[in-house]
Amino acid sequence: MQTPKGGISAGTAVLWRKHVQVTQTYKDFPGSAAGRCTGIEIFLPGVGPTTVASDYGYVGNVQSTNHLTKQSVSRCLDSFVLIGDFNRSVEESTNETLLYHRFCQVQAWGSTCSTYNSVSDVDHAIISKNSMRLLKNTWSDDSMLATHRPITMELHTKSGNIRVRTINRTPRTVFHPPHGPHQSFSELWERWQTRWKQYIASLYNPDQYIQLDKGQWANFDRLWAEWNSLANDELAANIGLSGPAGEPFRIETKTLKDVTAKQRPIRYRRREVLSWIVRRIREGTAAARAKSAPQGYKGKGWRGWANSLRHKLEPLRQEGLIKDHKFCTCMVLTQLQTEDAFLQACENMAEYATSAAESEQKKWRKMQRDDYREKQAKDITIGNARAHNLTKPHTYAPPIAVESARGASTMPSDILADQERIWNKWWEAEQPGCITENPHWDMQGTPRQPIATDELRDAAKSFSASTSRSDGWQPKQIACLGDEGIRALADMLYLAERAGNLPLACSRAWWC
Amino acid sequence: MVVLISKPCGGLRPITLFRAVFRLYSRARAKHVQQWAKEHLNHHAVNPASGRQVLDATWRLMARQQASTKTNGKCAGDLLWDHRKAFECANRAMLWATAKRHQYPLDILRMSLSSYAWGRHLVMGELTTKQILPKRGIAAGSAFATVELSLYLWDLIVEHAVQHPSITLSIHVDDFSQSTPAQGTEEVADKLVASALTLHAKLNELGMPLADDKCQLITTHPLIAKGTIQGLGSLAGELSDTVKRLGVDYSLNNQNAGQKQRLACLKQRLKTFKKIRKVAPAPLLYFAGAQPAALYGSELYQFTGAEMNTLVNGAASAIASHPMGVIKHMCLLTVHIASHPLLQATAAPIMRYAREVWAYAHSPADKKPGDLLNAREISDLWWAVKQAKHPFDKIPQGPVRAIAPSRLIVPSRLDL
Repeated sequence: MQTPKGGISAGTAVLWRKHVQVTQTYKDFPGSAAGRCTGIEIFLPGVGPTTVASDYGYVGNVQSTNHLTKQSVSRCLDSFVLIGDFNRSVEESTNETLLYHRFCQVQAWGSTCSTYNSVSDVDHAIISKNSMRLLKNTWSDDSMLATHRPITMELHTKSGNIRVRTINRTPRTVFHPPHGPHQSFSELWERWQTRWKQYIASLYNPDQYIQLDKGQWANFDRLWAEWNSLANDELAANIGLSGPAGEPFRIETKTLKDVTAKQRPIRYRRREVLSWIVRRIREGTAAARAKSAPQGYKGKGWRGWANSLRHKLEPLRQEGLIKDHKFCTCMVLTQLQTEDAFLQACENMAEYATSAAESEQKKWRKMQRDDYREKQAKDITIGNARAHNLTKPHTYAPPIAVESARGASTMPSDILADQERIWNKWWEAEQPGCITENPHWDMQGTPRQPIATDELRDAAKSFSASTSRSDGWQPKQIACLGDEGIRALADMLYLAERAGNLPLACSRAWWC
Repeated sequence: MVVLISKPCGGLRPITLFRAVFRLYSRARAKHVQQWAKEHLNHHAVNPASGRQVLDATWRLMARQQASTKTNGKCAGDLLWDHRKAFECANRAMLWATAKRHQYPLDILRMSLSSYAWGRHLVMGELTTKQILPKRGIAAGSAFATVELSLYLWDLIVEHAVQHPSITLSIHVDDFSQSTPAQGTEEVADKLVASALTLHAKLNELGMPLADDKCQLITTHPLIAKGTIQGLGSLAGELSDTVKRLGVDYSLNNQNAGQKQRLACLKQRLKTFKKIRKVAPAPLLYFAGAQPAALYGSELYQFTGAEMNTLVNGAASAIASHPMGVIKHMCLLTVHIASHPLLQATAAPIMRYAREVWAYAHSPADKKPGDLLNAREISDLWWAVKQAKHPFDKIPQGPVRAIAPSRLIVPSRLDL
């Protein structure tokens, strides 16, 4: 290719080893005619088809580079890696990724390009977030090149099947108490108070510091759970509290593949499903025309192809990602006996699925764009932390590779395992199976006065409207409870203070 | 739930997120702990104590050093230490024993200690670990954690003050600073070495390791550094001309350390403001975010004309009201005078000096912070300010260099 100054540059290329399953080489990739971009589609086990492209930005013309990169990204599949010499800084790339409306982020290697009088980070990559999860390691070596250090990225392509634990977190929201009359739950709270009084009466010397036995803790725990449930009901009716709050954390074990899939919105996933169907149909059509069987599928041919469609689409239909008629049409394809009918049906379905995928993508992009703009304007007007972060200069600290069973890795699951090891040591964590009792901190004297209802309400009101809500409750929401609910909470906190701990419901997690 | 957040320099930092009900309990009971801290932790070495500003210790230290040039010598040294995982290394049994000795609200401490023993889950995005039951340490993120850490170190502070009265010890959560001015270089080095060895022994007893790679030493003379390094070895840390002390550049030499980085950051932010204006005007983001960040530490720093211009231009471009035909700087008339960057940058050094005078004149004798400048020092500081001649570039960074140019701008009524 010809450079703007009249020189000759080798342009871009993608090379691959024999074992890599390349499913497509793009002929019409944006910038490929000028030698500025080369893209291929490879199949990564556990992830699916992934676009890998090499990009070469314009020297001293960031606008053109931005245009080229944006076009390239829009041409990529959901899972992609766009890597190369962008001739623009990492910061500019990071700011640009916001405009792509894709789940992607920039991966930097630091200053790898050196010129006569400066260094820069123009060599970097833009990676889709689901590919980012597979990122095992990145490094840069010395080379014969005087100006550039080659950048390398290692993906752990089978990580989709790694099992990880996930926790359900409630996202941070801004809460403003609504005006208007509140529905009274007095009768239910009175019943709760009756049970509470019975419980308190069963305790020995209830107005002093006390030590609860196992049974008493269990009863306290039950009453706490009842309070939580009642408070949820009252606030659901009065402030529209959504979802159960204050319950034990729910921890599930999933595959990493499922975790990455769940992070994408439903419209985006619908497009993914429809694109997958189109690819399978094209595979089938090509095989039927060549009078052969589809490749792959562990050598099972047409049977494997049909089974793949059936097994993959059934759960997707149950999840609501494809509608019944699309599912039935795809199933019909697996039943057709004559070649002509099969080819015709495939053509119809592929055409329909392509247009449906495009439509879903358009809807998703519009929705995301509108949401993003609206949210950004709102953030800027109120000047919250997210808006402040927008204005702060971009800082990027690459994740530090940790040692794992598979070698050095920057995968989040490996980093987390490493952190667990580190903090277990610092916290001198109890080893599994040998649980020791916490030391008893002996208390004497007269307990302090219980927290008054108004005091507790004022304390709740003093929290910021946008405080995080890790367990579903925002502390400010508790101020919207009626007097009975807050009094009940004050009673329980008084007992907890005298007993020296909150009940088990506050310190445990569910395992599913 | 322990959320792992990224540090700007790489690595991860754990922050404990407690359940809402426990946070509410902590907020409701915090006043008892604050009251106790006000009555018992009344030593100037505890920098986060109530009634103190973050930069108080640094400002007083620099002010004292610059004021003393009239009467004393110019030798001084400062040893800065950082702790490795200070919260995690606190021994709960020792904390309980210390709390008992100092009448800390034990019922609240008991609840707090119980909360530290609850099962924790490290969280990164959506991924989490299995439950961890910690047996050691307190948790960063608890409302009581900083007071508890100060309490844990309280005996050490009191003993150190008795044993080394000439050393100014300042503790900001897990950052320790030991500084002293004296007549001769040997005297400074000897004092620093003796203080550091005592402190190190006490910290070892408490089970708190130092982060050797973060220890720093700054001195006014190479001989002080040599003497200190000989006496302390690796505990003396890295010898520097200028260090970051609680976010501000701090130097004992004639180094003109400044806020260049902050202003460079502001310039970058202003570029983003231009883009953001297309979405919505962002006066709040500038006056509550970018401007205070750029002006942090302005009581110790002299802003140049170009830097003032950057601040004013930033304010002018960030405000919401830009009527057609009105020049940008005229629009600044809509900004409240107290928020005007010019006033804030110019008045900050004088206001800080005035605060010191006010604290000296009006605080009750028993409530006066221990490191407050005395009448002589306040007077000497003003003498040093009046001695400063334009251009002020040759004066070392500190209160004198900051106040002297401000004094020329603000009416000369200040020359009492």
